[in-house]
Amino acid sequence: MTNNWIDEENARASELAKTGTTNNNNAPLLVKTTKKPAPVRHIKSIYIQESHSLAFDKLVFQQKIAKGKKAPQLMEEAIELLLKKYDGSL
Amino acid sequence: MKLIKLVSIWNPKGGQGKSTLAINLAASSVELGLKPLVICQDPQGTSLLYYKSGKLPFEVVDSIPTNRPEADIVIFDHQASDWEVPANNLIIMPLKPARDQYATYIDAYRRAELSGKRIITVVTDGQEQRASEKETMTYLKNQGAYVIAASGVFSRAASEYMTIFDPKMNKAYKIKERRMEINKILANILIDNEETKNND
Repeated sequence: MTNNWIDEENARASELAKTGTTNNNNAPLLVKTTKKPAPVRHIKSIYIQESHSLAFDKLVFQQKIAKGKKAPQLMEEAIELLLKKYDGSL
Repeated sequence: MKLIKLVSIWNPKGGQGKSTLAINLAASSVELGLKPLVICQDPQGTSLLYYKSGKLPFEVVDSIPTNRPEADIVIFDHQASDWEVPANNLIIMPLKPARDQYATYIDAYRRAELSGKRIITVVTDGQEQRASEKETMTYLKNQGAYVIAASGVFSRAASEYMTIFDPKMNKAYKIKERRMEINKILANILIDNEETKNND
C-alpha cells in the first residue's frame, strides 16, 4: 500500500455510500431540468385594418409590461378562438 | 437493428477531464472507422464549444436526440456536481490523482458500484515526478485504472478546440503515447458488448 490517505478515503466513502448521502448533505443539490424546445413557427403576413393592428400592438405592449404572453403566443390564442368559433381544428 | 455502444463520462468533481476525454474518445473511435456521437449534458457546453470550432470529425449535440441516432458509439459528457449515477451501464470516471479529487471520485464510485455499473477509471493529468501523485497512480493502476499522463498536447489541442487526434497534432511531443493511452481505453469500452444489447 502506498499513500496512507487512500485507505482512509476508501473507508470513509464506503461508510458514506451506506447512508446514501453526500459529505455535505445540507448543500443544495443539482436539480436536472430539461428546457422544452420552442415550437417551430412560421411567418404569416395578413392585411388587417389599422385600428386592429394598433389594438394588437397595444395588447402586446400591455402583456410585455405584465410579463405575460408574447406576440406569437397571443396571435396563436386568437387563432385558437377563431377555430373554436368556426369548428376548425389545429 | 444496429447496436449502439452507450458510454457515460461521469465524475461529480469538476476539472477532472470529462469533456477532454469525451471528445478524444470520440476522435479515437473515428480512427477505428466508427461513427461516434457526443451528447453534451453540461451547461458549460465545453464539448459543444469544440464542435462549434468546426474541427471535430464527429457530431456533438446539446441534448439526447428524440430519434435513434445513426451512430456506433454514443458518449454522454456529464456535468460536474451531478451526483445522480448515470443510467448507462458503462461509466468512465476520470480523476486527477490528488487526495481531494480522489475523495469525491471514490464517493461517486461507491454509488455507481452499488448500482451495479461497470466502471472504468481513468487517471488524468498525473505527474510522475510528484511522489504523492505517482503513488496514487500506481495504486489506481493496480486497481485496473488507465492513466493518461500530464502532457502539453492536451492544452495545445485545447487552444485550437481540436482533439489530440487532429492531423495538426501529428508532430507534437509524445503524441503517439497520448493517443495510445486514449486508444487503450476505447478498446476496453468496445471489448464488452453487454451494454449494447438492450438500448433500443
